[in-house]
Amino acid sequence: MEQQDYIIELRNVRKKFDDADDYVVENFNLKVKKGEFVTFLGPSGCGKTTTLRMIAGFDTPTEGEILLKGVDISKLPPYKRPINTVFQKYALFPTMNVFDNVAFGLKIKKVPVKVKKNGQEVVKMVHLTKDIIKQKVQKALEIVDLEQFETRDIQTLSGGQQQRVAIARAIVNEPEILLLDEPLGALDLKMRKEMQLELKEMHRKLGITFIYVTHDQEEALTMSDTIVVMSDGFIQQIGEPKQIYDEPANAFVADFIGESNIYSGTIFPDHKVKILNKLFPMVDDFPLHEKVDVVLRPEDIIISKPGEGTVDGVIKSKIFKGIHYQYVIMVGKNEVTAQSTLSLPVDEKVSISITPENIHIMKRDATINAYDGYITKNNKVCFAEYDWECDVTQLLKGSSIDEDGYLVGPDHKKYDLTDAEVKVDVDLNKVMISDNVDECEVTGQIIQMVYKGDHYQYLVRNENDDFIVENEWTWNEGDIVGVTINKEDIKLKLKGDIKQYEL
Amino acid sequence: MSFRFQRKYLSIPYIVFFLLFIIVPIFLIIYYAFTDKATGNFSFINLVHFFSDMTNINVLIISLVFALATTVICLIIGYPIAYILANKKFNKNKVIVMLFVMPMWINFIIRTGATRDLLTWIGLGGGTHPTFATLVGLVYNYLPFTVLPLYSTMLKMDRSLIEASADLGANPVQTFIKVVIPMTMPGIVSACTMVFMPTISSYVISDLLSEYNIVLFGSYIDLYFNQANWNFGAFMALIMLILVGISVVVTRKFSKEENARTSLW
Repeated sequence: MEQQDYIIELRNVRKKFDDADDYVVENFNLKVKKGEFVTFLGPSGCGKTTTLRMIAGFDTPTEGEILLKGVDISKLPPYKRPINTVFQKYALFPTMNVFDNVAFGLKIKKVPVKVKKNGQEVVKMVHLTKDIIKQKVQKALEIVDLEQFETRDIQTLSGGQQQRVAIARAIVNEPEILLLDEPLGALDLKMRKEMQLELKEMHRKLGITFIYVTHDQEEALTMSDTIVVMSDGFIQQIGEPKQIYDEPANAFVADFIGESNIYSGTIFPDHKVKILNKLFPMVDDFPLHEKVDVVLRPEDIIISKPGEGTVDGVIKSKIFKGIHYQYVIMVGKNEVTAQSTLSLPVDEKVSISITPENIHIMKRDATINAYDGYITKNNKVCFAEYDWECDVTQLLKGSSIDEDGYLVGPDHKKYDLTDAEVKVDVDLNKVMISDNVDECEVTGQIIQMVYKGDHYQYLVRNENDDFIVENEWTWNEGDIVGVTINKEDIKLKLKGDIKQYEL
Repeated sequence: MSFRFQRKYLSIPYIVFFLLFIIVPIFLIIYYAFTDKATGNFSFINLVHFFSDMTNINVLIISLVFALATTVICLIIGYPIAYILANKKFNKNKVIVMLFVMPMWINFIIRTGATRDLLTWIGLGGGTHPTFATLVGLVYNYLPFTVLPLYSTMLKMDRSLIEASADLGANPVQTFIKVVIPMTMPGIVSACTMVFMPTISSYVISDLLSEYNIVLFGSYIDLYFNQANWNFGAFMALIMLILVGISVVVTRKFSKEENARTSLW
């Protein structure tokens, strides 16, 4: 009964393309109410367009269900779905004029009509009449402000006009859901701003559900009722624009939505969090000593005279942004981006403070790299599809390795650890990455990065495994890097009891 | 006086070529077509002769029918082939495209001779089935000329248009008729002209494959030239020229102006 409230629902949707190993969309769960404006937001390659294409029917999910009003449509071809799409590059038919493009769907559509046949009422499917089609097309063109353009050729229209035709062509069919795949991507900034407002207005007037895909966070914040932030095939956060901005679920969302300072912090007693080497009062409840990520929005940072705030720093750079100045303030080794209407000179000593409500604390996704591995016969540990040098003597206190490669305990018992299953932990700052891809046995691609004041946190993906790396040097998203870990930084823990390996 | 090189001088070889091999021969054809063989004077005797003998008209009609049939069969076979070849889902590399082009590398006479022997071997040779054998030979020879222009227009076709069509409610058949065919029209026109024009005047294929059971217009012209009747042959060549000209004009009508520019002719 509950699902009746939702027009479309995605349940555990996963998608993998035939020739790929990785899933492009994983565990996608979403419920959309009728009339809602939902935006999928994320960097390119995050799976947002693929998700949209699955709703439209161009791609079928590898697993999971797509329910339209409670009925699974995931296997239904696109032409049987009451859903229309506005394509990224418009995909208007160049062989037809504006009218024929908009009328395309209507000319195909058949509607049930009751007719009397031999005295009995039968329902017959008939095409719409020319007059009705004409009326509907004119109305749709009116909505997009293109009344006089009916007979124009597509090639003679500007980008913005083509965009409007594409929208008219979709809405004229009165779909239950309108999908928009980065529809404003090809327009210039001013045009885009205008179209954003117009689309929002159109959404209000038509009252149908909009699902909008974009990588522009500002666009998402302006237009949506609900934003779905995606990264790397996963939903990072679902929420209203304000909620996503004010309370980002993790460092990625905070970094992607708006400008932000992100720091690693530790919780201290009496509602305090330690960042920038100082204790800041906060309002959230978090367990003591927990390692957390802390987000400070530049506009929330209060700049005052030295000594008056919580922590002192020096202005390193200053940019005029129209309404305000944007400063980068060095606090110790950390950079703090702040906005202020005050004009202050570079190299000026200042103090900064933040009201407790504006300190946003987030649970850290991972505080350590953890893997499942096993010991190989030459006492290396295999994880992430590579045999790493390690110190197996840490598995048993006071042990050593004899010349045959067996582990010898302090009581002179011998152990053969070959194939022993272990848990492997590596600290984030102990994973080293370098550009010398040729010299490294293990390589990976940087798929996510977040700046944390004095260092970056990278997500490096090897074929199947991820390394979370803290490093002060700058790489770019998409870079291929070599991964090395020092022998002494690999921490091992035996999964079973060591006795089973005794010889 | 010094000679200053100008870019327009580069066109001189082409002008010479154009005059020697196109303009002059056309005038020669027209000259011979309207002169009396016996006296060498200007006359309409060839025209009268051509239209008063039904055999000539019949040969012309048969040629037209063969050319049309070949074009239609080539399109019916070539269109799906080109569609499949241009679809990355089915054709991951260009090797299969090469397979369709490769027969063109083999000498035409050898190819046609081989076709004849093959058809005779399976019992469908020109002696017993002249029409069938001729059509097979024509289609086989001109199929690459259908596939290639279609293939190149289909490669350029925006696949998102097919998705847009499906999105708007068109089933695959409707999408094909309303979107794919109009989009590939330049390729279709190009393919038609590239098959129709050479087949209307081809004669080696029909001679070899039908074992001289079917006489097409081309072989007819050849016959008169071989009998040293240049004047009548030239008149028939002129008729052919006009027919090809008409076919170009007609096909142009089918494709819009901007499409005609992108097509081969």
